[in-house]
Amino acid sequence: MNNESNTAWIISCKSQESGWLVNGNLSVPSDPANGHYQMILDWINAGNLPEGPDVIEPDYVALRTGADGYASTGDQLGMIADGTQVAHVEDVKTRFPKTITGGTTIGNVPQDVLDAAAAKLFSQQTYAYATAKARLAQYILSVGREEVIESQATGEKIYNEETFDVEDVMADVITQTAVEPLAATVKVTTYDPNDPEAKPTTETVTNPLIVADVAERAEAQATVDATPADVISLYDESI
Amino acid sequence: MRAELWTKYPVSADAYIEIANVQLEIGSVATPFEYRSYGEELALCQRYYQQVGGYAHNSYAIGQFYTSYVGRCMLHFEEMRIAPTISSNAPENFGAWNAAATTLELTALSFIDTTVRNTMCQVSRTSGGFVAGNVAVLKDGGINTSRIYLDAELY
Repeated sequence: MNNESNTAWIISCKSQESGWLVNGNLSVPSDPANGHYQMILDWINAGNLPEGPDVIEPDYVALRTGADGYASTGDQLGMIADGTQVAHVEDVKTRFPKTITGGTTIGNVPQDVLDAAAAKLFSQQTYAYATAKARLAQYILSVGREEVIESQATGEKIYNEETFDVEDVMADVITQTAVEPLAATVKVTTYDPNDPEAKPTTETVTNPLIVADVAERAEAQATVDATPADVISLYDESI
Repeated sequence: MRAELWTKYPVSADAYIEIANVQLEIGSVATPFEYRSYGEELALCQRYYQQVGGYAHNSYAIGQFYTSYVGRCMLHFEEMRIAPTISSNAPENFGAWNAAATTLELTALSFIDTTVRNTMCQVSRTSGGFVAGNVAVLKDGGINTSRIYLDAELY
């Protein structure tokens, strides 16, 4: 059994009467708390389609001896007495001819599982979108951030002799501190580990913090761009 | 995690150190070591994983055949954290009694309607040999090679 949190180990997935048969051997219950069940949902969301359950069609023997088939022995003795037993047998044989050989077909995948997979995908996309938006909202390291000052009420009151009103005493408050942009380049000194006496080399490179910032922002923007419109719409409505 | 020990005195090649009563804790404050009985430790482990089998001629579950080749048997186990994923080794390692109390080798074994405390074992034998309505007993094939695995681990 694979313990990694991915779906590459799932080769086949078949719906059972209850739960799933994975790779022909693992019986996974349809329990949202079960980790393998969650992997099955991820596997479906990766574009895989599970197989529906076996639907067993009864053959003529099963039908003739089933609830809608021959009457009980006692009942048939009664039919013999009143002369209707032959007609009863003929009726059953007509309704269930020997051409009904039965067999096994594959049914549809339960819709509730497909719905659960879609709901999980929607939730994952919403989380990824929210995370990406939060990352893009952070200031750009190479640009820095300006100070923001707002005039806010201090809580004190003062009487305005001209308007005869009691007014708030206001004061300027820094609501966002300024951050200087990072240096575009930095010098990196390299020492030769095999030769302590060797003169170190120095080179100027793009600031690695800025490089990482640009890469992370690009990744976040790609996530935002790939997010389906319905996910964005619901998220924007909720905030 | 790694712990390193040094000694400034020479030690013989067969010297050893025994370490006991180690426990991992959240935070920076150590609390007294918790002693658990074997039974407590086993029960805590069984919430996450169990393996059934390992006894010669082991009988696992009892139920009923509903055709000549398929039956269902209820298997009970210690309560687990969640309804577990259940698997077995090859079905040929398992058998079921027929009406003459002869063990017939299975060709398929799966598990449905699983809860945290029990599951329904579906036993199948493509060539039949059972009688619908008879009692079904799922058991080891006879040489103690059958195993059933119940997995409720965190992933």
